[in-house]
Amino acid sequence: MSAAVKRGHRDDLADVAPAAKKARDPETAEQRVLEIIKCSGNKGVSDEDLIRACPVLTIEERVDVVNKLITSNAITLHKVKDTLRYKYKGPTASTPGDANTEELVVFNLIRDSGRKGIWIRDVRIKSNLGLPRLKKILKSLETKKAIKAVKSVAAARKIVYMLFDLEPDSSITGGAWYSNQEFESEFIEILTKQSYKFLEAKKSKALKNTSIRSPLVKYNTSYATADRVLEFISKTGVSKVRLTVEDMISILDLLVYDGLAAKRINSEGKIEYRSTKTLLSRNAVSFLPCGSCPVIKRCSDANQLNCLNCKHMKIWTTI
Amino acid sequence: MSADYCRICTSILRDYFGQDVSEIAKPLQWGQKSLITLSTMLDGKYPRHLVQETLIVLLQFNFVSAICNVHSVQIEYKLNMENILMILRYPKYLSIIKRKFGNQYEELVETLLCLGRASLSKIVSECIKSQNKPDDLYNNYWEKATELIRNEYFKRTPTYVVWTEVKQNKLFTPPTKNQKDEKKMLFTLNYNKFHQDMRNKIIIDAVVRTFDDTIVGEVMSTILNQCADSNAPVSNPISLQLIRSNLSVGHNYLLEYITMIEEDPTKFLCKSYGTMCNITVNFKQIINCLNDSIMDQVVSYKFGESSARLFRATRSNKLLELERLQQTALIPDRETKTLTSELFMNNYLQVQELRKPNTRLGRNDGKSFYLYHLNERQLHQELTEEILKMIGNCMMWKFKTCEDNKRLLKNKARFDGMVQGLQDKQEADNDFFEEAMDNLFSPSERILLDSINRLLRKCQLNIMRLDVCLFLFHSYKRYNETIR
Ligand code: SF4
Repeated sequence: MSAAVKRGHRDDLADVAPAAKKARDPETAEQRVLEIIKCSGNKGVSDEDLIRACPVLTIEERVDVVNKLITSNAITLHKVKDTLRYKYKGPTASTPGDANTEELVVFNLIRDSGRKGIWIRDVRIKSNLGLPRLKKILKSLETKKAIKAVKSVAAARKIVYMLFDLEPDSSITGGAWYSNQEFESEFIEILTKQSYKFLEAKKSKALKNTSIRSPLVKYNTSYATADRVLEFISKTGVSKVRLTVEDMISILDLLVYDGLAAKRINSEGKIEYRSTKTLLSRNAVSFLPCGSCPVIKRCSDANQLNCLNCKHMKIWTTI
Repeated sequence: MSADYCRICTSILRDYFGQDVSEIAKPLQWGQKSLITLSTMLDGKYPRHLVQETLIVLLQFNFVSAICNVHSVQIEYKLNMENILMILRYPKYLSIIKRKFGNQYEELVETLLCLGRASLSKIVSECIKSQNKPDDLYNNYWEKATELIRNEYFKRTPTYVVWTEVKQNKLFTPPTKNQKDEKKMLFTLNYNKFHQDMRNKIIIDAVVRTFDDTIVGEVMSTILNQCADSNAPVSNPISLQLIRSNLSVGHNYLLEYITMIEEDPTKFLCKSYGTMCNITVNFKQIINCLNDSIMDQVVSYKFGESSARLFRATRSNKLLELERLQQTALIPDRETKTLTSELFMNNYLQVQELRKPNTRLGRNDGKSFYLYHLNERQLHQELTEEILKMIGNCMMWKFKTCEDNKRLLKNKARFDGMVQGLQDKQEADNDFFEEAMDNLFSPSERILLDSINRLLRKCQLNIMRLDVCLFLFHSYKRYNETIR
């Protein structure tokens, strides 16, 4: 928006301001330009590209069309390496009817940020507004139910703004593992425990099954895909939120990272999981106090701290 | 050699040969030396003839080797620390032989362990003498000893005189009984063979644990027995027929068992498809898996489950940013930070910094990526050191306990000797010993003796357990070095 303002020959600020929806008759030139810009996707179209694409338009006509599109918020202007490019913006959300220029600037910034939201600091920098003024504007927009503030999981006090009717992105809410911006470790723990239980049960059932003689079949049936585990989890009703298969996969991967499960890709190309034990039985290091000693590097016979006057070793050797 | 390594060597020598030998060998830890240098260094403490004697004893056991440099006039002596560390495994070797062959074989191995190196006739006669067996068993033992040679548990070794060598093809040929120069053919233990057995045992246990099926263990052990002795990362191809003919159980499903082991994510075996079905064992892969397993256990014991999760996640993803790490391990943000920094400070995780290039204005917006990763080689090195230290600590306690209760233990040893003597002559019964014990030792002393014994056993047991870790680390190092 501010870019359009700078390009003085295009439009006056006064014309931009009442950007309420004007009923426009579908002009072919406008549609065509919009189409071209739409097709260009994220790269955008420069003025020269437009001239090349529809040479029939005169300069005035083109400027007119582009300006109309900008005011109707169908396209935006971007500055890429000293040239201006038009980009398609997608279906436009309605702006609050009685917004003034400043509010509109802020509103557009927020709308542009989409589901990811925008941080107040970024709004301030981009809009060039003072903080008190900006706060006021945000408040007024909020009361109009045009935007909302969402707490981000990335940082405790970071608040991002986005359009009122948007569902926050999972990078803001953190996905299924967050509720009210709180990380739900317990929930994850319960899920991993349940999944492990399921895998264990599946394995022992497969091993105990006497009707199958073939060890390979037994082995293969001890594997379970994420879908199966998800089915089981949904049935138990541990989860109040709806989990996706991806969520389940990350839970099952946790089991792999905990060394409780192994995963492989089966013949159909799907990932399967199976509960396993560690390859070695109990670790030798865990039998001695030194195994978990934080100062083992400094423990030496020449030191004050040595194994003979170490408290833990003394306890260990008292039988 | 690191300080911990030297410390253990000294301790082991002290444990087996006494204080003097360990003191005399100490200077050799820091490099090979000639006799003259050595005796000058020990001047005033030990007379020269004692140093000489010590060297001869150590040479006999191959703990010291004599090196004749082309350019130097003198013979220099080098301490073979690796061989000294093998002493820790002696009990293991004995139990391997006992399990595989039986008691008499174990006695033979034990005798050879005590002798260091000896001719076959000497081993056999010493064995009979030490076990108080009648002389007519000589032939019996001789046969058993030759069997051990044929099974490659004993190997020919040169005398410790420099410039002698045994031909490769003669390494495992047993001498005939009345051979003229039989006395000159010396034998010693073939550590490699024992280590192979140890390795196979660990692998079989791991397979059984993974599949919860003992027959898989049988299959695996049959396959491993067919592997040629080599340190190659992948074994020689073994034909299915060969395995089948050597397998005692599970014939019907042999192929299925093999497929099972092959398809498991651990990937212990490889199968070639074709006219001949050949199987190869991925030794390197196995050893790496086992080592990873140790690492994980160590991390989880030292730092807790969550850290172990982070550690493993980092390993499987190679390079990870903190945020990604948090998302993968699903641990709260702050906790992830604390735990990773703890791991980082203890060198379990490494950080690689990726700087963003400076912006056009010459400003750097101060953000770099920090990627977490592991440095397995360094970790192994450090853990080896730690384990050596732990073994050393156990040994120190062993010494201390023995030292503190010297008098009591001496009395007990004397008493035991007496009991042994009487028992051999079968002159007294158990009641008599009980009474004698009561008279000689007060009740508190008996309790003390009991607890000392328990402590010594506990130390020994833990030393052996730790030694298994050392063994695996060592194999890991070997497999990962032969590749480069
Ligand atoms: S002896 Fe004590 S101080 Fe030394 S490493 Fe062991 S626990 Fe730590």
